[in-house]
Amino acid sequence: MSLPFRPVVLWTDALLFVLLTVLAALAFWTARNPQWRRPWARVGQSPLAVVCLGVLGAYALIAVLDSLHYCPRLPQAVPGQPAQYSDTVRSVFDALTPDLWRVQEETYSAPLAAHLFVRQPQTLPDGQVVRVYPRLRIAAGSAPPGQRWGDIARRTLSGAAAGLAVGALCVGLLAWRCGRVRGARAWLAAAACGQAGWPVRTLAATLAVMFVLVGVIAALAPAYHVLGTDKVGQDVLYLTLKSIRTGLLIGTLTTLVTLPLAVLLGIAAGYFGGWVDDAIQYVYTVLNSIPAVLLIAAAVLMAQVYIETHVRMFDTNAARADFRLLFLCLILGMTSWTTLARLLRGETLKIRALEYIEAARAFGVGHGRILLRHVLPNVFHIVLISTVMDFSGLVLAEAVLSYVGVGVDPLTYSWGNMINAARLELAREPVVWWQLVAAFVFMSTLVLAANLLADVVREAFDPRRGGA
Amino acid sequence: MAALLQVEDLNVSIPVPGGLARPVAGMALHIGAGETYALVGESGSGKSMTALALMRLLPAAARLRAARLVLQGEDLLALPERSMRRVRGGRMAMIFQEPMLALNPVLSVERQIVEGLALHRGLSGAAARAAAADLLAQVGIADARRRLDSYPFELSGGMRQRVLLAMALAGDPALLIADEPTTALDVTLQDQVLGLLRRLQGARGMAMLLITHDLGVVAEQAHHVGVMYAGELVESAPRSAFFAAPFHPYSRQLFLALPGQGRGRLAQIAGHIPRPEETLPGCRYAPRCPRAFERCRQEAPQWRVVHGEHRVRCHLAQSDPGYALAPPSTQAAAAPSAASGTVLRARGLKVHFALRRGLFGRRLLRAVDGLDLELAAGRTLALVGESGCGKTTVGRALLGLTRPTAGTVEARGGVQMVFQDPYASLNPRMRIASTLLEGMEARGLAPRGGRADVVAGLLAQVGLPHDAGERFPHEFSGGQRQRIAIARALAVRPRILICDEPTSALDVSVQAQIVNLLKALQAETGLAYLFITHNLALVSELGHGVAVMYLGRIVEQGPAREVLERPRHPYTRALLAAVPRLHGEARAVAVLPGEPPSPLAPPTGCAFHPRCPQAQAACRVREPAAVPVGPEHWAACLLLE
Repeated sequence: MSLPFRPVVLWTDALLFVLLTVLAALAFWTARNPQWRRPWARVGQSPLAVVCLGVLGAYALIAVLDSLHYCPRLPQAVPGQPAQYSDTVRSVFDALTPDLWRVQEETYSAPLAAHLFVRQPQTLPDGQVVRVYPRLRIAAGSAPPGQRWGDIARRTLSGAAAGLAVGALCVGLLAWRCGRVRGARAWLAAAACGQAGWPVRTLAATLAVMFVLVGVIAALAPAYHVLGTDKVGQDVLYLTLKSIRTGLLIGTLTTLVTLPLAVLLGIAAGYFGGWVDDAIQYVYTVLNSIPAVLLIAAAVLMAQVYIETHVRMFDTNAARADFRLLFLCLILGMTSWTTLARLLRGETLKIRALEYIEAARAFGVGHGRILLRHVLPNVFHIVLISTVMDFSGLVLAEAVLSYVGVGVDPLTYSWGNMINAARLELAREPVVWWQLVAAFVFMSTLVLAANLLADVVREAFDPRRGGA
Repeated sequence: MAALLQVEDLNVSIPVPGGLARPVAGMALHIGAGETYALVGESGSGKSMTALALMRLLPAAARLRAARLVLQGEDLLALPERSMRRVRGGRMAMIFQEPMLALNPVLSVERQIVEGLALHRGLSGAAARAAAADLLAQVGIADARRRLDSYPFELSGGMRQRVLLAMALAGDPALLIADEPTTALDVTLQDQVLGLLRRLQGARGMAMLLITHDLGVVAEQAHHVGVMYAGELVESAPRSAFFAAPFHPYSRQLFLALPGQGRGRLAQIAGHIPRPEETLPGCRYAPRCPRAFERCRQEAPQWRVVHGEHRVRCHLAQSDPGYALAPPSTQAAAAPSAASGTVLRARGLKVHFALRRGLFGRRLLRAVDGLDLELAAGRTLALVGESGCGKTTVGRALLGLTRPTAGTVEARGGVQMVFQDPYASLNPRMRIASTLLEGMEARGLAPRGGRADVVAGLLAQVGLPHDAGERFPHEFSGGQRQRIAIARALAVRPRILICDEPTSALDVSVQAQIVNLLKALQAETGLAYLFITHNLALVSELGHGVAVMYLGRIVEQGPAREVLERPRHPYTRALLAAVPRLHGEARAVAVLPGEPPSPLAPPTGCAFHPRCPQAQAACRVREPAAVPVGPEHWAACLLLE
């Protein structure tokens, strides 16, 4: 008996899960430490933050599902032979959303359309060739063209109803979980009046909106391309959702490279001073004086050459694209640690002169312990704030770099690649607008949520407001 | 004659989460031309807020309400902002506490003074420059024309305060508001600046609102005194009446908390000042007042006349007329603890810092230059001197934080330190218990009993509640934090404690608590203190011995009483003379002109000779040696040889 699939762990998948583990550990530690729990509780009390966390959570869920990769088993030609697996790498997300990628069209089609956007030559039974707007493959067998809008409305309503039902179920579960002390009903009543101590109503509304959206899309997807199709007939909604993983990975894995460098070097430079400081400053001054785009372009081109000369190392297209993505994260990280390091150096210089450090030294406490117990906790809010703020910048950087052509692999789904493709589409008459709009809306939602959350976090950790 | 400034029922309120803060409530004052009104109070009493309200410079959220706010017959409340701008700097000017923060570092002195001259007197070009130079000369800056082109970083602290004063005078104001003008200065500089203020006031007939926490400064400077507590004026009197017999229990406590009056244990005020948003039905001081009775807690007192212009807001004025005559209670002085054996000895201690200058140039900063010290168990040696004389460096070298360039330090038993700023000396992200135990953990000392017992013991020793260990520093006041810092030092059972100005950041009543605690600890455990301070009153309160430092060297050393009563070195004499006295008249001339020279280029011969009123030709060439002038008392001065 063999598995119906062969699991594939790409490098970025592995690193993403390492990151999730680290985050879970940090969350656990925070929950046990009142000094850090307090500001986070303040974040949780802000309705804006709850909305942002809801949105980011949905994005993260999609990214995680899209990071569980496997190769499906091929149908066995001869019974009894060892199982053969496909070369195509799929993810759990793909398995959950077959409606979005199974049916591929000829070329462009508008959102919710029944016919292609461009005329195609068609041979009539009498041998005559005419140019018509052919019926979409996905629409075959569904409602006849005349009843399309009625069909869409019906599907939308039923999808929304299903979404609301699931949302209500979630709120019920929440009430059951939170209301164990005073009873679920009393808790619900309090929450409805906004007296639960945290913005339950906002969370409920956010969940409802998201579930309704998912419900509507799920109801429409079997018969329509909700956001249309691109030049080669791929569903644009699918492209956009697949791009989430790329965007999030760039935003987070880069941080994984940046943080250790910035924290270690920044604090060491500030604390030890002298030649250590000089050496570290020279390194980042040199790094900063090279234009970042140039450095990234050179590094990505080198990676490309490496992939082409070591074809055997990368057995699938996915592995190749993944290597390039990882390399991009690495090089983005190498060019972006300097800002945070400089900030930390300055802050450490200030803290080093404070009397509690002197007092620790007077007790004979070692450098390592001073850095760990006295310096790091007092600069940690800077690390946190700058990490959350850098995230959105990195997502945008990916889009820009891919547009310029030095970003991710052209085969990788990413907002940058979508926007790059939209360059030609906008020059068409009539204009093909949906790919650009879809990429833009999804990317802006992510960046906006991250930025707003960063604001709330910064405010909650601001020491002048009695934070942290 | 109507007073120059008339203020009646001035209120400032600021909306805060959960109520309305009233940093100033029902303030009333009248200042006549040429008169100085001193506003006294501890931090948080609303003094500075009152000054800002007079200038109408309150923060945007604050609301100003007053029955009367009249300057030279003009209602300031009715003025539009545009005309108010002409009043500010023109008829009413202000100088601030921190001279470095109040000067713009990227503008030359001339630009900053001319700004006011142009706005209020319409001067420009050469005329403005001449007027600016004239102002600088008036505030006692030598070589005024050259100084006009200087930038603030090129000026010393005293010079900066003078420039600020010149800027304030540029508009020829009728009223000068001075907010703690000398708090950041050394005692000799304070003496110079106060003298200058008196002279200018006399020459210009200017009225002055002096805001200070220092009763000594008030005694020298003021014509009229107002005591503020928690946003309210509680006592108002002419200087002589006030200093002869302060009436309000709070004013009396302030006097009793002053160190250096030979009363033994200093008076402490229990509790803390109420927050501005706290509303109390009765007197705001009642919860801390030793004389409070039932009525004080229920009814806010109205103004009562004690005698003539001496008025007070206290129920005692009505219920107990004899109270005014009762002398402030005194307590017996504590017996000095017995001395036994030297625990700390420094010989020929030198600390030099090499400063980089340019690419290859190096200069030597001689922070401490040949210093001998001896400290006996259970005794306190006070190390006194102006800022920059190397006091703190001595402490750091004795502690081992700075490596001495030469000399030896022998310590029998551990040395620990209590730092100056209680807000910077505790890690804000560590629980008090972890802070207290850090030293023991670093030394590998196993806490006897459990951690909790050790922490509770230490907290009890410094008079803090036993549950303080689980809290974080921000939950404590400045005085409590300083207690924690002392407990942290005690944790490793040192025999020597170096206290580096441990009370200079604290209010006088809190200072009294810390001083009493230090005395009690010494009597209990036989600790030896090296008490670094610039406050000579504290020396007589705490010190058994005194060492006076000037430019990295000790110039006079001896038993505290001996040195304070019979100082032999001219520098010690000048320091003592510069301290403002509570009783007696102010001096006409400054006791010590100029400021200490830079330790980068110390003068030849006796380092003090450029400022010494008795300097002779020999002082410029020959370095003085220590001359014994009494039992255990010596001074390094050629005049004594």
